[in-house]
Amino acid sequence: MTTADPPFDALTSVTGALVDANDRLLELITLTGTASTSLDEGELLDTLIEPTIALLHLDGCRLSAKIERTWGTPPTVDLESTAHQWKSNRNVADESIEMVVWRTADPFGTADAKLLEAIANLAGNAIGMARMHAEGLAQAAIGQEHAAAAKLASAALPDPLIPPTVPHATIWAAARPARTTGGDLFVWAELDNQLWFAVGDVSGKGLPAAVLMTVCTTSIETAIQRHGEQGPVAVLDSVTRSTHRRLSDAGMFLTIALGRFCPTTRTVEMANHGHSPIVFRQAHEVRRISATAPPIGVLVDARAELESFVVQPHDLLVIATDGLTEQIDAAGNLFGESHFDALVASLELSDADHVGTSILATVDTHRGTTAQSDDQTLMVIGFHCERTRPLLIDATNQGVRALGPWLSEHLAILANGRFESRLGEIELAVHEIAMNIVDHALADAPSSRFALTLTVDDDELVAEFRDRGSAFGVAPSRPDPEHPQVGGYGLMIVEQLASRIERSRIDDLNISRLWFSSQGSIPAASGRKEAHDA
Amino acid sequence: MTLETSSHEIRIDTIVLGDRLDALRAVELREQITAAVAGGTVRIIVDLSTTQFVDSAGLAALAKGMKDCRSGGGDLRVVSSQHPDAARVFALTRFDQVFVMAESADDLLRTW
Repeated sequence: MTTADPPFDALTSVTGALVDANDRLLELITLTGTASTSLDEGELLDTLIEPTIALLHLDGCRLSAKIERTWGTPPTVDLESTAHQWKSNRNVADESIEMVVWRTADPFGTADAKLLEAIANLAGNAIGMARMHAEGLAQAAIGQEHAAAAKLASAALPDPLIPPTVPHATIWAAARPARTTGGDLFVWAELDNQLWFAVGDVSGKGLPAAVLMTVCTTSIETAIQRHGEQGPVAVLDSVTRSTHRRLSDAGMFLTIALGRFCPTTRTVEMANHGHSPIVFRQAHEVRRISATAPPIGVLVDARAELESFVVQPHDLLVIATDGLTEQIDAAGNLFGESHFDALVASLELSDADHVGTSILATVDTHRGTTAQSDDQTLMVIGFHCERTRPLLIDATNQGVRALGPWLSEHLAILANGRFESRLGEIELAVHEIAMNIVDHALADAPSSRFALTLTVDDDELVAEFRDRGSAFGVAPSRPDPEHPQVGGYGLMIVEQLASRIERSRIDDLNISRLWFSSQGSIPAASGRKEAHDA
Repeated sequence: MTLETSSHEIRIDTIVLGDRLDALRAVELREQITAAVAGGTVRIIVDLSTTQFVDSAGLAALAKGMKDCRSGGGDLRVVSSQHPDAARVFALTRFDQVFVMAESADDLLRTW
């Protein structure tokens, strides 16, 4: 048989066609299998178009979208006259995409056109997918920038761990943003032995509110330093002058209550630009401190009136933002203004920290599983106590050794000798809690610090620790004289020395409190096992 | 009648602590006791007579030492602190019923 035989030619032709078809099929499999391995627009199109050129024996291909790309051999002269071409137009995400392919060998048949139509669709999808991916990356970058901005914004607020201290008052505050950034603010400062405090709310939410919040916070802190001697109204006048235009231009405003407490006269003076709620409790009777001027940013010459009142031991001043009173439950019911007042009146507490955490816990109970609807900021000032400045302790065994001398010095000043007979016991109990924090809560953060504050109220001393370590809880151990265990006695000791122990965790803050009475020293011996027992 | 005599030497180590037995000093104390037991001394006196402050970490070091000594057939005994704050820790934890304690090292030596 020779190559000239017709049956052989036919067989060769059929075989060639089958091989060709098989090659095309393999190319097609390759093409569909590799098209989705990348999310880069250029790489996606390369993996689609290059096999297409091989599959259909094309001379070249051009895709015109936002960017024009060409594969293969560009036509040397006019494309219309030198090559067979196939063209397709489609819209992807409001963008017109044109695909043109050309070849000189054969005209495009029906099968070619169907295949090219499918490939044009794939190219359109690839471009759409790449664009979505790029937009996703851009959104993620914006999200990261928002998170960074939120961190910066929250850094503008004081550290709740270290409140200022003046005689006869304790202050506590917490700020809980609804989103990653918020417009609520609080400020506190001790200036010339007076306690300055403010709670404010920049209208709006998100990054714009947070940016203006930082501007307002700085303005308030500066105004207190510069105009504090002239009182709260003058301080807020200064804040108005420095922030009104920015707030007004942004279409935003700031509600703010600002005041100072003078321990010598036991007097509170306040100025209020449109802020609510502010509740003053005296002997379980509550009254609101109302606004006497519109929010800052509304009228440039608005001036608040001074509200002044004398406080008694165990009085409370509670300043919140409307995110607390307007928190909804699962049925959509607000927590409510009257509910808030009734809660402040009913709390059997006068310690600022306890009142604050109790109010937040009650609002959280009302909220249930419903999302927090707005920023929530709460400040509580309890009037009565003598309190030390916080001692910041290095979270090391050596750092804890600083406790004893500090305790001895400050307790003598604070309590006028009332706790002298119990100094050794108090030092031991406080030392054990400090070691517990070092060994457990801050075990993974040896370069961190934690705070200790002493508060004396009549014959009761409260030692309060605050740390930002992991939650800890070690059950006290009781040694068996026959089989004594090696460790775990710290809390057992503390339980016997302190009249009360309380440990709580708020967000990432551990709070440990020990109460001591000035009376009731523990004997230095129990039933001793004397040497002759051996 | 033949009288046979023999003498027995009992080795007892005494460790005298300073004014504090807290977490820092407890580490050293543990090392001292471990070294003594490893060297064959299982009778140890820890003298706390001048110690003013003992915490739970210090107690833990003493308890561990006592266990190690007792495992070797000996004991760790304690000279009581003259300071009420340090002595109180033993009462609070009932360790004064666990350790054999005396007012002086001589009193303890006579118990062996």
